[in-house]
Amino acid sequence: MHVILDGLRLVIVWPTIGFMLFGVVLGLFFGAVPGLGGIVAMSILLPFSFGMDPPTAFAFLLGMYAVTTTSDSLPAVLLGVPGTAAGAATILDGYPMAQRGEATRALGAAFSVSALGGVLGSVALAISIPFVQPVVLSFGPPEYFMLGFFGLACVGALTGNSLFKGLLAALFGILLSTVGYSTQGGNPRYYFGSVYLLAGLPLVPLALGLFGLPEIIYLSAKNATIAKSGEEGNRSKQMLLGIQDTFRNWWLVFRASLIGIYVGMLPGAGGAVADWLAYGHAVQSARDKSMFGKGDVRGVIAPEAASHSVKGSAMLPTIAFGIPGTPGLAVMMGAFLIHGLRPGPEMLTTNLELTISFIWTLIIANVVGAGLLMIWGNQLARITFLRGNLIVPMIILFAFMGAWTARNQLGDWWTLIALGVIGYVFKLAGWPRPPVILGFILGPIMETNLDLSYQAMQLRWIERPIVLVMIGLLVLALGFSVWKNRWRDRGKLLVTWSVEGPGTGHPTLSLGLGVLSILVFAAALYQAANWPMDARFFPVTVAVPALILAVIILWRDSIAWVRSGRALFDKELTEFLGDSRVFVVFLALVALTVFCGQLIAIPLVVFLYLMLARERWTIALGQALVAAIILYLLFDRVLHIVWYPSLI
Amino acid sequence: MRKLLMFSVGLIAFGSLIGAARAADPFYAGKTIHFIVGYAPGGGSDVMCRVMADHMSKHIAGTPTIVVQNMAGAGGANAINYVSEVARPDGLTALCGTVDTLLQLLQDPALRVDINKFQWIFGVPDAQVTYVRTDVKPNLKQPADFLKATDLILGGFAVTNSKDIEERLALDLLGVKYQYVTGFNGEGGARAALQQKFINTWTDAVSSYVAVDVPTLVKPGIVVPIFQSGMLDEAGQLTKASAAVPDVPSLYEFYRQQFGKPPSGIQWDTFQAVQGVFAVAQRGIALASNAPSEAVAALRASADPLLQDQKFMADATNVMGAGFSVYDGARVQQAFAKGLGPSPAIKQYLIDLTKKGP
Repeated sequence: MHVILDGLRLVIVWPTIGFMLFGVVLGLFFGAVPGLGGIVAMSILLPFSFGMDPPTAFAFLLGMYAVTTTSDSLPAVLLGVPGTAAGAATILDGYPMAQRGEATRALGAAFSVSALGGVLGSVALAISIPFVQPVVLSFGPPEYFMLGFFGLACVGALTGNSLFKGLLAALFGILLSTVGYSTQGGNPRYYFGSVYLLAGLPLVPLALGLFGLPEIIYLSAKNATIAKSGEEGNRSKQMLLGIQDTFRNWWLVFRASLIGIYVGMLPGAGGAVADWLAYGHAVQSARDKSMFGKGDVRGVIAPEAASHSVKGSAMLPTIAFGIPGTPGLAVMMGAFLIHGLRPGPEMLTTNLELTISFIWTLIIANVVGAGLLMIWGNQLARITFLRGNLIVPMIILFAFMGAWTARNQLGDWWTLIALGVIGYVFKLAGWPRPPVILGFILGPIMETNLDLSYQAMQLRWIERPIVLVMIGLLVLALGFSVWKNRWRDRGKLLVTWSVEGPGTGHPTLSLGLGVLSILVFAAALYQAANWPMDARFFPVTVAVPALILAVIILWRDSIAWVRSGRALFDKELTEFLGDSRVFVVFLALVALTVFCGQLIAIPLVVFLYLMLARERWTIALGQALVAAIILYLLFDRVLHIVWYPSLI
Repeated sequence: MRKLLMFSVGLIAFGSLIGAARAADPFYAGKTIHFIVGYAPGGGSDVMCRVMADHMSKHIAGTPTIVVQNMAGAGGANAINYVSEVARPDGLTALCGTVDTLLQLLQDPALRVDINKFQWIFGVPDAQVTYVRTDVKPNLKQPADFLKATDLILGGFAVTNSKDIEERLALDLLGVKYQYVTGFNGEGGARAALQQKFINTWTDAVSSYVAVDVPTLVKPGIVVPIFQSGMLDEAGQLTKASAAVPDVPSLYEFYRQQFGKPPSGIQWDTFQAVQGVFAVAQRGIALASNAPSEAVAALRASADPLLQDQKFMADATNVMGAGFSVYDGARVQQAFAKGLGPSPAIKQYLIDLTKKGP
């Protein structure tokens, strides 16, 4: 018992706590800028910690680490852009809330969840310390594969009436993840002779392109505000409403935090899947599901609670076994090693006090971070009421630079734009996009672990006890939802996403996507046919059901189209084409960068865009200047980005 | 006319004075060097390069600022390509971290340049320790029991990965039977699998071994180390044990103890060819072929004072383990030339080995 107080005492001393606060402020900033959260921020700040003594360094790094998932709700809710890949689930309901003018309420809920969930999570975590060893030790590759499978099954919970399209989107995401060398490293797949693709597709540009670019197009084309309706009540009241929502749903917060803790404890897979699992659980366990996907605050609370708890629990295998729970923690572990901390079982026994001090740091950082954001978030929510054209340039800056930061390659911009096209078509056709990200993240987890399981145990891995339990749970869950669908809630829609645009999407585009899917998966199968077994097994297993699904979807869409009596090409379609003129801006940005580098190209594009949008030249110049300053100070001086080697 | 002459002479004198003053300025005065690391932040190469960058600057004439940038991807090839092809020939961009000769030996399409052309500044050697779970059948009471083990499951990262190749060559040399399970996504996943008994044999770099594996696996008695890859002796053979792990025999020593004679044959030759580079420069710093010679000289000159720097040695030892040492640029150059030009038999053996897979 007194070890808990001893741990606290380690933290609340000066200057340790001062540096923790400093870390918190930095973490809030990095988490809010897309593409910078997590691993990039950690590695930038790592050298700053060299000069500090160990307790201070740990407080600094942990403070930063704790709050990136708090602030990544900002871009997710306000702009529909994922701040970090783990924050994508928050977009599902957070952004629709912003579109209803309830941005502050969503943020209030998200921030208070991080405080409440962080505290609850840490308490539960401390109690769970004795379980860490058995839990981590009982999860091997077969169990991880099943976990990935579970995550995929969440798609079923999330895609209500477009279940088939959701599954197909997920399978598409999985297919995208197979680009590059096969898991065993021997065979390059789907790289079309391009060395860039050999390394596989990068997650951040993919997520930014899929979610961010279509929003940019929409905002730019309509020059509308993100919030389609006026704000209900004043902002402070909204914030309090959001906080109230969290406390009213405390039981959901607790359950979601538990999901986050126990799934987050599983190194590697945990962090990626936890928020989706929590979202799925929230939908499953809710009596009134009608608002999910259209702005149900519970759809913000659950994933946020889970992703916060993951932070704390992922730390345990890191320091107890030297097994980093997330990529950000891998950097953290490097920092720990440099400062002389040795991971090992003593961290949970004789050195427990240090571990507890880490948990306290997370709690305090979470609460402080949430508090700070609640104060500022008020002002930031104003963004949702600005004219589209005023915010588009900045979003373009952060989306493109966010995509650039990871690997400093022009190819990543092409990925960004290509996924932007795909995302735009998906949105207009009413096909769900979140499953694509889920599939992309889960694909490698599933394939690697399935492959390892097969290599070591052939098919005997299915007999492992936990695997059997998970299969049993899956069957039960499936059976339950089928029963509900057929008998109880006959005909009732489960979840449709308003993030997908009005109604269920344009029929022609949907038909087109159906045809395209068949072509894509057929081509994938054809290419895979000649590969050795270990390389072709997974793509084939994905492509075959995908083809079947695509045919079914095409069939149903055709019937619906015939029944609707709409023309194949109508005015709406030409409108969409016109709206997409923003792509010209993207292409211009790439071309200019090749010519004169980002430091000049981006401010130039910002200026030209605003001028062409007929804004006042003062605004255009002002924004261009701000862009240039951000690029120079943040990306060049602080982050030391490798800029594109332009022609001049 | 006279005035003009005087003026010109004055100008020239003035100019040459400036020029002379300039020439006395060290090459790197007022400049910024960029260390490009071909691996993700937080990994071994990244951490080592950041520690270096932190301390090297004050030992380079002119005290330039050093900035570390990551360009991960393609097994390090992205960074190698970049420094060679794209970076300007002004000596301000250096490659830092692990440079994998296998990229070139196995003709990986991602690599577009000849690694031989780099100009090496210095190299940091490292060895690898191979360890096994103690509950492998029949129970491992002493390392010699390893040769009798029947259910070894060896883990790895990828068929073409140098670590995989090194441990497979070693086990093949010892004539040990094992099942090869590769494709792990990182040390973390592999350690978890090892804890889980999913695999029972693994190899780790000495630095990670000392910092992470000893407290989490060796001390609790879960695994026991069998051999390490070895460091170079005066004859250039991989016989010595690394100072950080003096009680674990090198593969050479282990073989000799078990079989009564030194190792030989194609597996040993290939092992030496691959590991010989890492025993000189597991990680290193290099400038591109077109970097000016003063840059190379200035950087190479910083090695000695760096090694005298107590603060640096403390940090480096923390990260890399005891017995941290550095080989000079010329030596590293030699090692790479040797490693990149092995005999055709060795090259073919490597290609066959990586085709096989599990």
